[in-house]
Amino acid sequence: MMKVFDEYRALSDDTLKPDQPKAKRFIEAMRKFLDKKENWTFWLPYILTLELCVKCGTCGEACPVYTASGRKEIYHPVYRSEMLRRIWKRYFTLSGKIFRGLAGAKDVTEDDINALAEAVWRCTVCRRCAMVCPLAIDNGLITREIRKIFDAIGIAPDELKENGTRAQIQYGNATKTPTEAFKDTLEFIKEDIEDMKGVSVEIPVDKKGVDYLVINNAGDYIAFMETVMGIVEIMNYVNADWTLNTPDTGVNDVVNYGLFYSDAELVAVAKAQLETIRKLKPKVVVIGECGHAYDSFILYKKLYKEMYGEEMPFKLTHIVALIDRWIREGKLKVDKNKNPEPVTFHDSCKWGRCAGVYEEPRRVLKAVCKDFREMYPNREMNYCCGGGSGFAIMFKDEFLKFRMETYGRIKAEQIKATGASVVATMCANCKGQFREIIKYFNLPVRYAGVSELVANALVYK
Amino acid sequence: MVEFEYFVAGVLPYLTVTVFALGLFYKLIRWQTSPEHLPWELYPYPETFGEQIKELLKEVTTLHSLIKNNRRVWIQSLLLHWGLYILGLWIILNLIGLGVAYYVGLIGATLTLVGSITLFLVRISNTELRRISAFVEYFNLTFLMALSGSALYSNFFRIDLKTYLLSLIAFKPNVTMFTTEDILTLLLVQLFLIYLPLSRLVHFVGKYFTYHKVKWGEAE
Ligand code: SF4
Ligand code: SF4
Repeated sequence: MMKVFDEYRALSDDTLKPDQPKAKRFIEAMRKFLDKKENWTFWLPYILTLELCVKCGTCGEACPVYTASGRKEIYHPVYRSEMLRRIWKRYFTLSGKIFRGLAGAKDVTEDDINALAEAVWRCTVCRRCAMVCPLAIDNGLITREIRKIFDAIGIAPDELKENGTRAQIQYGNATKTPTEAFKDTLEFIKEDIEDMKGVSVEIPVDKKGVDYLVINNAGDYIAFMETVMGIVEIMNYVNADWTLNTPDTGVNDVVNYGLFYSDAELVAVAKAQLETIRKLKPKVVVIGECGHAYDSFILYKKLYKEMYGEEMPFKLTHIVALIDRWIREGKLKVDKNKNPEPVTFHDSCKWGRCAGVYEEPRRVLKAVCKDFREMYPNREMNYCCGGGSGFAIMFKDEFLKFRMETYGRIKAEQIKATGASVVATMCANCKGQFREIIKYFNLPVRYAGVSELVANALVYK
Repeated sequence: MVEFEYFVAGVLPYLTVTVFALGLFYKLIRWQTSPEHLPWELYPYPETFGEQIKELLKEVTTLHSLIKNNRRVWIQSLLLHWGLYILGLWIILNLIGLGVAYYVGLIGATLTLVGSITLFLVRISNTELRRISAFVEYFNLTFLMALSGSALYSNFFRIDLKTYLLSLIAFKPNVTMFTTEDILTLLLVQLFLIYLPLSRLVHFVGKYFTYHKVKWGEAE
């Protein structure tokens, strides 16, 4: 593939079409997103970030891509934001139109646009930079806003669009799993738990009006089955009134890749998911181990009001919060000796910085693991693993190498320093990235879902 | 030359005030009337009003985020910011008519000058900072240097601000109280005020929005 920004490519030639002109269309689309009404979803943080940056460089110090790359100029958060800011100045501000270069404006070229299209796929929107910025402005948000502009002119990674949001809306899940195959998987899970644990479990589907509708990341049923098995066992253990749902009811996949690159897609997926939930009428929607999904659902509270003119009629929680409560209430009896190996925890950006879920997983892991160890830095200063904003399922060309040589390298060092043999995390994207990190750096560790470790510690009798 | 001095001290101030006020007003209204965006806060954040004020004061007075995350520009930035705060204090003390105001002004301008020179020097000597700096960054710092340097050179802080402002309000500008050196300072001050709302230096108010409306969640 043609080089447009650096030695990597996240977008295929088919998607980017580097030879075809697109600067004009880009500027037109950009105009739309500078409009308060058109872009109400993120207008204020977007504009503030465009207008206020004082180039103090603090964000760069916090950015895993910049620091791990050996501080390459092109990976500095400000470098990427400036690529957009120069266009904004030149075409949308008076000072830029008059003073041009002196005001930081620049006529845009087709090469600039191609480079920008790739540059936004070197940042996982982990928002660690925004956490430290003295002005509280957000280069991660700029990344996402640029992706929105590109999506509006038809340029988005096929992993996230054709095979992501579009597939999810069409098939009910991004894995394109039909109901029959889904039910077969559940049957397999049931048998497996019964064989391995000697306990019989029920996996209800499509039940209406239950206490808990659990929606998982559909990828978990293929790649991280242990997490789903853990959840099934836990729901059975407490004898909950619960259900999973099949594509027959609409969407049975909790992901929303729109969060990564497009508000239009975010809303389209949200609508499909919310319609499904409205049909099933659960009291509580339980998000499985999927960080960005929980983050999206936080946004749905507002979107729901916009769509239906009323408050969300169901409560929102996540599986680890439920587990935490049930352990504290004594409903889940656990024995930490059943997980004797040293376990560390990776704070996913989406669960942590973006949603504030720090304590629940820690309380749970301390209850079910004999030797829990913190990873440093952690919580709000944790480093993104490199699976964020869709990267976990993006493998084109040398892209995996990019993921490993930047975020991956830092994360591998962090894990090594803990001496743990298990990395627990509650996000499917992080697990996908850990699978690769462990292989790439040949680490003597395994990754595990929190639910899986809990199920392993359950005491029967 | 006399006409020029009259223009700077007797005519320009009206324009300056108008542009400054309108510019700032425009920015504030533009941000304030933005539609309520989707939640985009970062956790944890101070939730009560008291905690938020405490956090804000800590940031404004110590530039805490720089101490923690970017020490190489901390002291310089702190000097510059405190210089500007103290210059603000000079205005108040001068209007009240306290004699100590003169020395406060000197300290404020000296800190601003030292802060802007040292920031300029790190910016130009540190490879990483130099890479992300454009003309505007150097321009802003040079502007602050010129302003504070000129104020010190012209011994500007001896000026009786109250008399001057009252003469402006009465539309009988007292321009005779200024020396030629003062006029240069006065010109720079006014150009700075005109430039301020249009530039990123407006972050002194923008920060309210980035923290209270975005990073710390919608202010209830
Ligand atoms: S930390 Fe904030 S103000 Fe400083 S350069 Fe980065 S984005 Fe700009
Ligand atoms: S969001 Fe994360 S990856 Fe992107 S620029 Fe900021 S720190 Fe770097």
